[in-house]
Amino acid sequence: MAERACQRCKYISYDKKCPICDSETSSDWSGLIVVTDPDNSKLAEELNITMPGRYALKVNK
Amino acid sequence: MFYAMRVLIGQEKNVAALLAQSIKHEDTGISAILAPESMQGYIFVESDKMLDMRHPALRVPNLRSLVEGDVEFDELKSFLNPEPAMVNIIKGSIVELTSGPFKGEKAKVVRIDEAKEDVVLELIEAAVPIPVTVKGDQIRLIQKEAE
Repeated sequence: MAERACQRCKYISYDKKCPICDSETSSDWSGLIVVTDPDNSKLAEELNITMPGRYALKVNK
Repeated sequence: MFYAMRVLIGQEKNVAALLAQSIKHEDTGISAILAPESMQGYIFVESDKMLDMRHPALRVPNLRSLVEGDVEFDELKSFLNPEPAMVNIIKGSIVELTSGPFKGEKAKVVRIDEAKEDVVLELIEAAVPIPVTVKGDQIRLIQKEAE
């Protein structure tokens, strides 16, 4: 099954609804950032990511 | 600090995911791993410690080496918010296809579907004008509007 990214928070999962914010997910996404420690990451801060996990950089609807 | 790592082309996302798994219970100082779509063969790692490639947690398949020196945060910013592929393209523009079976061919934009990021093109050098639909990131703008 293809991985999907949330259209709002960009979190990557296999579900049709995002497990974090319950928004719709899309299978058309690109770029990846894996955040392991959001408190000490400048990249996570720039992207407003507060939870560890895998996120897409761009999600198309 | 940010570091660039060389990886096998096409395996950027896999390596990033594997590396994240591998460092989960190790004290490597890594807080984020970035695999931008537009950067083939490289991933970027954010860490507050000096990275040592001899660390067993950094032995990940298809991860080739660490690029010497660190990367500035400003250089990575452009990867974080990728611009929409079709900003300057309007109907009537002349574009060049950058991938697919018509790679290198020039074409004229006939129609744009902004929601899907699709572009309908007509190849200039083709004998019969057949509309071809491609994704917005598969074209490069040559001339904004044909006279």
